[in-house]
Amino acid sequence: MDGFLPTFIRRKCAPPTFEQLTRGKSSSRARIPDRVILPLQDAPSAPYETTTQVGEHVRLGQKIGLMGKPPIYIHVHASISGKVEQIGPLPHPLGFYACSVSIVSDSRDERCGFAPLSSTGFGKNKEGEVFEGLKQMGIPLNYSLIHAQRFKVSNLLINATEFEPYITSKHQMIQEHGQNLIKGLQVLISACSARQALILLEKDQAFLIKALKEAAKEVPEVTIRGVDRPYPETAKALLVQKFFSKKFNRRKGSDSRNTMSVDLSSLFAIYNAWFSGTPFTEQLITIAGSAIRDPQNIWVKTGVPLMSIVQNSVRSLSNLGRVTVGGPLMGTPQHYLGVPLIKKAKGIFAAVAFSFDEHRRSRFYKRSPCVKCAKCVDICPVSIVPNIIVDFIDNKQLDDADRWGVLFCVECGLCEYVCPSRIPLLELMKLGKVLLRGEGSLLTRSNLETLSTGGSI
Amino acid sequence: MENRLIVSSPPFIKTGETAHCLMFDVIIASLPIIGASIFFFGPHALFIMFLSVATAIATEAVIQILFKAPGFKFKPFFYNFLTSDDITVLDGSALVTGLLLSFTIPPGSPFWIPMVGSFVAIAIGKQVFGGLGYNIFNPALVGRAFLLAAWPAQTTSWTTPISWAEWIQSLSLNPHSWMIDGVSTATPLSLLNLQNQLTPLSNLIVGNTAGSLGETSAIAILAGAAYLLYKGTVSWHIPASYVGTAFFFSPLLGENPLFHIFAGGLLLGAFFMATDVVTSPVTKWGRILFGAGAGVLTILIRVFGAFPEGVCYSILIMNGLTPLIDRYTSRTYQLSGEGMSTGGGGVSDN
Repeated sequence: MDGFLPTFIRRKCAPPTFEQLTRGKSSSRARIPDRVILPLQDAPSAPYETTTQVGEHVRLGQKIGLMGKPPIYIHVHASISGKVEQIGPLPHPLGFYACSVSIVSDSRDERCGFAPLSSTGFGKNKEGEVFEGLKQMGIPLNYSLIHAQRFKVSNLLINATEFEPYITSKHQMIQEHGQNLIKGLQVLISACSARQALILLEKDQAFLIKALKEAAKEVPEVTIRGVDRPYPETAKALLVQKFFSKKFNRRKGSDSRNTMSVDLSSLFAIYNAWFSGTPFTEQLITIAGSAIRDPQNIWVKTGVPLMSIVQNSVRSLSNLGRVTVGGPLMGTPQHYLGVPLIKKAKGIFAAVAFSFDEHRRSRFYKRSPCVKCAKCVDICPVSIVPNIIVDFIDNKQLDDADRWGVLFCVECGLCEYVCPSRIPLLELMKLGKVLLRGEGSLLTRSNLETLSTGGSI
Repeated sequence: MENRLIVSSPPFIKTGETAHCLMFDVIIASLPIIGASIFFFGPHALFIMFLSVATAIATEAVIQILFKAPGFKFKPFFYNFLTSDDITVLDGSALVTGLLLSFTIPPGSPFWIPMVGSFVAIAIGKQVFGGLGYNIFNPALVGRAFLLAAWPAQTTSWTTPISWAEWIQSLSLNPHSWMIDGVSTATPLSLLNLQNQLTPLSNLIVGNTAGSLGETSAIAILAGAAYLLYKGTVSWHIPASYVGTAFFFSPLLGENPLFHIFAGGLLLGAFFMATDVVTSPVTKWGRILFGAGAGVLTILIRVFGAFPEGVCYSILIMNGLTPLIDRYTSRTYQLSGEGMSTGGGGVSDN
């Protein structure tokens, strides 16, 4: 009867945010790690190029390789100074071996001489040259869209809502660098001559909305909008349809195909690249979870192995049970902590090993038949019917699952979070997607890839 | 690696809620109804409810031991009973079914009426389909419909609410004096049907009228319903559309809308029977359609049908239509054939 107690508590459908764990703490800077691993591929058999050799001494910000293939590529920069120890296939957090450059630190943090992009004449001569500059600074943007649209991106969408519980790095970034984010956004707006940029924030974050509005007073293109609920990062297509599509926003007359969604971390990196010339070598992440002693936001070097982040802040390594790149709802679980931190990661969630065993649970916490309580239907952000789709996938009726919209699932995990029958809804929906379209249709995975965009937008 | 990490599919957090929390929420919400029925119909009401619940639980346990858990070990009986994965009596659904069935039984009915009703509700209404989650019709209403069809005399003989003072005075050591022979009377709906006589609204709201155990007191039902809505166990869609449709449809047939809402089992049906999660649609518009259909059918049966009461049959009819409602109220998408562009996750315009 040990599922009985929640009967007397009022249950909320939305997961708690655990914001209070990191609220009010200013971000700190992590120590320089012993080594970093910089992957040059973000998908198996993706093209890459190295411009360094084993044994070479590199400095912070020095270009060491090329991810992708021109015209869609970004440069990869050393995020610490030191000696190149190894170039070869190393484990990647998305679960494959990616060709990576491993650099051992000399703990001196020597920097290259940086020249700000604004002073080097980028963007003055030819249309689209700003994007070449941004690519050379290693900033993950949707370059394939920019090239497909021939630099005509008319709308920018910045989803600054924190969907993941525990993770607060976006809010921290706005709080500490709101002005700089708007400056970076201005650069991007003028680079693609966008007509409007929409920043979405939760309505209850009135302080952040006010701060951003204050910072964006002189930029008429920027709109800051409060939304009722946080949206997952994979729901770009949904947000574009909601806020930019002609059907919903007839007066604006904008087309959803010209919309690019941008990460906040990319905006800050654009600001850095434009005004000080620093390439993307540092990122703000939240490290939180039950295994973490002091949950906080920290600036870490790109490509730092998860082990060196986790071992400094974990309570005890011996009972560490689960480490995920990303938050607890949509994160990618890791089995090996030597994998590097990738550019699109927003946080690390580490939980202690406690009652994870399926057979040790009470039967009330095991999968039981669906009682059709429709909580998953009520909470689904894309208005599909998870319980019926999962029934179809269980019975191998993939055509029916397709017709009921399994491919529109944004893999946010809320359905499985609320399910009182403990049905692995998200797992089965992902299985259905893979059976229908292959692994490329998994949004949570492609959203973490540096050069991919997670969906069509 | 010195310690192994666990890799599984996200999400890694869950609500603490389980399916049987929903059931116990219904039990908690029906406490005021139990209190009201004991207050108005005396200790015999408690006896009927106890019999109904006990039979429901026993039937479910026996059927599950016989058919679902063939290798069930009887030796440490209670330990195996508590830990077996196949025997799910303790999830509370049989308790809810038995209790809801007893709410639809007349207070003066003989002891075997709730027992037979519970047995039919669990065996034929639920376990035949495969247990909790698979049944098509609301089990409690299946039991009620069976009783009404098989023993119409016993299930339509109503008694007036008791007077507690008289009962306490007549108490003695003789067990026969513990029972009360209520005065036989008609329900407000039969009165309207046969004698065209309206019961005062205040009696209907307080519950001081003849009727089934749980359906007379509107105040108690609304108190329980407020709890269910507050906890989010039921959504507002079905009760709102059910009561709203009945309210706006009955004047069209020349009836008093407030009387039809508070008389009979409409409120009990709207908040406790129609909202049974297993047998109601999952889509929001489906739920609204479900409630509206049940409301229209209830009023039609009450006004034109042979029975004075139509809640039970209207909900059962709508239960049968539930898969169809789900199918036609959910969005369907184009099949993603070869012709469609790649990049899953794009939202199409339909």
